[in-house]
Amino acid sequence: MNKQKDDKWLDELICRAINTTKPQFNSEKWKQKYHKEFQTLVSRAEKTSKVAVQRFNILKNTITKLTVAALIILAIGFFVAHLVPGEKVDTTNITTVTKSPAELLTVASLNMAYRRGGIKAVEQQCEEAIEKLGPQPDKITIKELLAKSNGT
Amino acid sequence: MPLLPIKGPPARRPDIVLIEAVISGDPDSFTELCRRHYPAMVAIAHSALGDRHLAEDAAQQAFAKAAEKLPQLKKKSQFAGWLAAICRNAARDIVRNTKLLRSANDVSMIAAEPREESVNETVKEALSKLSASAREVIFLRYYDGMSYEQISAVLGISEQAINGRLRRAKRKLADYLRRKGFGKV
Repeated sequence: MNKQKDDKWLDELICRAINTTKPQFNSEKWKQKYHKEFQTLVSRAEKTSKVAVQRFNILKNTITKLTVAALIILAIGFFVAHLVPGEKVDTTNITTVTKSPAELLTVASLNMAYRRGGIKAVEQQCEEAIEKLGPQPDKITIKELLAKSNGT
Repeated sequence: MPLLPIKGPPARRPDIVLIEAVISGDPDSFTELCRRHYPAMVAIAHSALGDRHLAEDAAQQAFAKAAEKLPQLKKKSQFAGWLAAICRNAARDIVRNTKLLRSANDVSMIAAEPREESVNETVKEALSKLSASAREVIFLRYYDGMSYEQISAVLGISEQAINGRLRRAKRKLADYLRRKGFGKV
């Protein structure tokens, strides 16, 4: 009992001696006092958003976008073709039913072209798609380009 | 009777989530971290400096340093310990710069009678006699009323070790006070 009392008394003494009122952080004052350091945090935010914008701008370029799309499609086509090399499809009765440039460049149609006539057929089909799409003005929007690619 | 949804305070985001947010460019998350750890950092600095105002300066300096170095922190889960280390260094720098002396000579200031003021001074002296690590535990425990778990996160030691350190520190304080004529302890 005495030990408990002594403990309590000691606790009180310590609390009184070290002024245990909880300190409150004043963020506004800190920002003013350490302006440079706070700016490091803010500039980090700006940097992050700039990188995001740069990435978006790269993808915004129509030519880059089409090239990337074509490359992906070709890569997938080859991958699929090589994945099932033993499988022979009777391609004699396959007729071209695709019409729009977008349809000509789908994985399925490029894959069929490859089976029909190898890499030359794929190239022909790509050329056909570009011909169908025809020359486009520089300032064409992505929306318009996609609409034309879909043949609408 | 239909059960009503319990409305409580918004969920406290863990430190690690706030750190990731700061690194990906959210300065407000950093001020939230500062608000959260400010009392503990002031307690640590106060234990080294013996002055509340200087301790607050040291804690703020520590946050400024942390704002710059945060992306370099490898183990995000050890943020509190990392911040405490920065705070200790900031306190040391302040001691060095202000030539703050807290020597045992101050003992002569104690009055013979245990008046209120002299009790506080004697307790402060007793605290200054403790090792830095013991003093930190005392300050963290009494300053902010931190739990053993919270102190453990800041100091990076087990709760058992904190309990032991706290008991030993209190025993030393009691012995010192007894020697100085404060009979109750």
